[in-house]
Amino acid sequence: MSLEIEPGEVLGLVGETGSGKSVTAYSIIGLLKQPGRVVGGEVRLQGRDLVALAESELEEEIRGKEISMIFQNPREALNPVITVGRQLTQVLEIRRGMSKREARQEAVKIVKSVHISDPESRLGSYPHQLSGGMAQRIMISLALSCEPRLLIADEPTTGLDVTTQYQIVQLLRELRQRTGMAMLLITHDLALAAQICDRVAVLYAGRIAEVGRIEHLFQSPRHPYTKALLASRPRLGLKGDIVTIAGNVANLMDPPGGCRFHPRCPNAVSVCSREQPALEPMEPGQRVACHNPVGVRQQVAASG
Amino acid sequence: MAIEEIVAPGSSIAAPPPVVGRFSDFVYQLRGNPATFAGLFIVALIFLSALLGPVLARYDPYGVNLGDAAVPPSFAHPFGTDQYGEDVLTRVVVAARLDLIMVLSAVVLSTVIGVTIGALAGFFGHFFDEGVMRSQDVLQAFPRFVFAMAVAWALGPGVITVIVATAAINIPGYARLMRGLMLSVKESQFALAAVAVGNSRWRLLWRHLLPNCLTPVIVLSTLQCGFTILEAAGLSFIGLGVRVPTAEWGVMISMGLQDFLQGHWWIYTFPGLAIAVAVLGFNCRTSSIPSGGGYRQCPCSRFRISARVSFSAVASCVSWTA
Amino acid sequence: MGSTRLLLYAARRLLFIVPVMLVALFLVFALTRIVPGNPIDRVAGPYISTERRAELKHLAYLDRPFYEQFALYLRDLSHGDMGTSYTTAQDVSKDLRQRFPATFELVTYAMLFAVLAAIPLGIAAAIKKDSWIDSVARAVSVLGVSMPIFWLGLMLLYVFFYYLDWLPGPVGRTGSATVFVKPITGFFTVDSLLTGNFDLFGQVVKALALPCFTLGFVAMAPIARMTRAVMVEVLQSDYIRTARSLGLPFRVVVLRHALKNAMIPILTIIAAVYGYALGGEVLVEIIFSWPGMGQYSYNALLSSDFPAIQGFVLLVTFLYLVIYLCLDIANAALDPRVQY
Ligand code: SF4
Repeated sequence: MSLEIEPGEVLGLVGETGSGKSVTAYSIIGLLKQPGRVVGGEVRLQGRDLVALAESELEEEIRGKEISMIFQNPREALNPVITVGRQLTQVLEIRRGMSKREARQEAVKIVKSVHISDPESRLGSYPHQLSGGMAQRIMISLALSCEPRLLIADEPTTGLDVTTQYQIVQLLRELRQRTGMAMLLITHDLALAAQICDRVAVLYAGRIAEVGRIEHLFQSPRHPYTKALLASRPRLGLKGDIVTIAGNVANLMDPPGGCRFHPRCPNAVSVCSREQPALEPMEPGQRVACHNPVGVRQQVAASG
Repeated sequence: MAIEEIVAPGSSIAAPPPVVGRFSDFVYQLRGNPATFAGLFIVALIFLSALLGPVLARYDPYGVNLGDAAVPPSFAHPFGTDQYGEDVLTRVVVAARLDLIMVLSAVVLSTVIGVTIGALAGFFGHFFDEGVMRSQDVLQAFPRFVFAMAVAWALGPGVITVIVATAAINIPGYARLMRGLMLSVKESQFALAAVAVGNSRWRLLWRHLLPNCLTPVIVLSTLQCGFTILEAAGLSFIGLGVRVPTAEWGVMISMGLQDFLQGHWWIYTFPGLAIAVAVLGFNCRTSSIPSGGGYRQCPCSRFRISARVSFSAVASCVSWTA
Repeated sequence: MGSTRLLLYAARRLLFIVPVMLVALFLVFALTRIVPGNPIDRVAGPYISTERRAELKHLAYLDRPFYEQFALYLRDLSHGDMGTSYTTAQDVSKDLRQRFPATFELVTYAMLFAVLAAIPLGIAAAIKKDSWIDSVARAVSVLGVSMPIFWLGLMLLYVFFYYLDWLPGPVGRTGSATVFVKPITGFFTVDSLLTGNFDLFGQVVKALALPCFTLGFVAMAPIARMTRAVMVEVLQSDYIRTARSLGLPFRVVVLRHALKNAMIPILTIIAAVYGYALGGEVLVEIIFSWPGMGQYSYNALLSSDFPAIQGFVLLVTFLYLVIYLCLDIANAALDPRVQY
């Protein structure tokens, strides 16, 4: 799987639950939990292969400073027995070598920048005293504290109510403009991706199905899976039932051969179960991995 | 797996989910779990020697033979003899029966009483609950062994004493566990359903709620076996339980203590080993289930209790360890 | 988190101790008086006149009904009088004051050993699951709960005293030294240093070694087990992932983030074990002839020494409750989510 993110760009990684989005993200900074392991491939950050780095180097140089993450369920992602202020200043002291006082001032500054009113008192509270949205802002301040070049946001709005979701999205957009850092947004929600991303990669069973500018994907999805995702999106003025995608998400332990989507694909042709389609450029500008893309001349003949 | 018989009846609509695993689950658990297997083996061995011990023994466990007193381990006496010339191996094997009887009786006694008290407290709540829980608080403010000592002293030495004393100290633990479980199960969907189809309160309690609380109780009981061996032996060791010359592991160690300065190590070493191995066996049998949120990993427990209860269950298992 | 609130909470809890102790005392009274036979008859023996016997019973209130005995005991207790022991003929409070330091010193060092060994062991086992250190931790916790404590003590005595002759035998707190230690703190290790008697200090430490290890080893098992279980759980939590994603060094993640969360259940188990050790090291004291409360209570039981039993139960219950009080306060201080 290959993805590039330009500085200052926001890339969305979209797919159903269990499609390997989060795994991809965690493997970037080497935080896969026990059973998982990066088997091959490389993660390049400005020419450096992160997979080849030792744990200590990742810890020292990459995490937090180059790449940091924000998570879903922010309240659980914060340490319940340490005040959020201390969590923040601790990172500043250890990772940026600040003194206690500097760290304190910097913490207030950072927290203000994510629009938390009354930062002083907020910093003295514990995670369980915060609302979900507030906790996510704190989480974002933590992630920003070492001024990373890439922010990975893993389902940042899951578990929040709708208005808060909107505020967090606004905040992420604003941050991107202000800091110029790149962002990798992992979500199952195409609509959310559409709000912030420049480009989107649609993931199916650990592989990229289609990648391209958000407007291209929305207007003319080429991959049948993208199309299905778009169709299954609840939206205003929708008549009739929401179309769901038939079948189950592919099992990552034992993925189907050929194109991994073929057991569920309405467009499947016989090559699909045999050969894995390559990512190829397609009109109007995205790249698609499909033998029989949507809206392109039907390859019935090829299927013989 | 006798529980299934209790679980199976009941009305079909509101029947609670099956609680205890099938035999196949049990076998599944055993595979790839050498510790459990070893534990099972040890427990089987103890049962066997309890059953057949007197038949297998080469000597009379009470065969005083002062000519052969305090002989070190040899071919004729693999574990040596004690100061009365009684064969230590024979006595260790024969003692298995008495110890097993005491332990199982104590465990059954404390489980039945504790579960009943806890279930009633959790089910009826209010005054009854308050009263029961406060008195449990008081009982738990005693160190366990001191409590057992006091009870044993009051009853005077004997087998029944050991059973009652070791049972008494465990009743609060069961009551507490059961009460917690009952409180959570009482609120569950299937309890509502059982009431909705017209079960009486008592039927609800005994047929529907109680069986669904039994998994953690059984875990606790199996754990208790090991500790009860230790406590029973401790009581006999200090002379408050079974008395010399009975063939009982604790008593045998205390006999060894009398001869300590003569260096007759075999008199107390082997009975102590027997205790350690027996406790190990009982503990290993359960090691795949208890401590540290183990319920989740146990494929046989389809029964989910709320995190809080499972924590309190584990906590009481462990504090129990103490 | 006002500290005044915490204090108020502690005070409230402290008040709760009184009724529990009263009930405990009542239970002991009931238990001792149910047993047939009058202790004076047993203690005094047959060669004593009937008048003298009656007088003794009268002095000990034993000629009165049960409830009066209880009331009188409470009255005396409110003046700080715990009665006179039938066997030592001393005030029970004095007896206990003499013996408590021995037990407390033993238990304190044993617990220190247990905690300092078990927590790092549990942490290491949790970090390196299925490594050799995990096996060590498992072995320790399995052995610790399987061995009868009195047997472990005997085996250690055999090896280190009888066979190797490195450590003193079971002869009490000062080993082979026959010096009289004038108690200052009651901790002989401290007292001998305070008086500059380094020779004695060595003896005291040697005498402490075996009973301490015996008790400590058994106490280690549940602590190590709990530490490992909780640390494994905590290390998988989301906030640990967060801490690591920020590039905090692993040491900081484990010690400051994970351990702080794990400490709450670990403290609970430590308190349970500590309470157990304070009252339940009777067996260790008997094996090592340790002149502490455990022995005292054992002898009191055997000789039906009612005032001594009552005094012991009062003290132990009190200690137990204080330990749990400390635990609750520690929990409240450690865990901001606790409501109090
Ligand atoms: S390659 Fe075939 S199966 Fe896969 S998405 Fe395209 S048409 Fe469907």
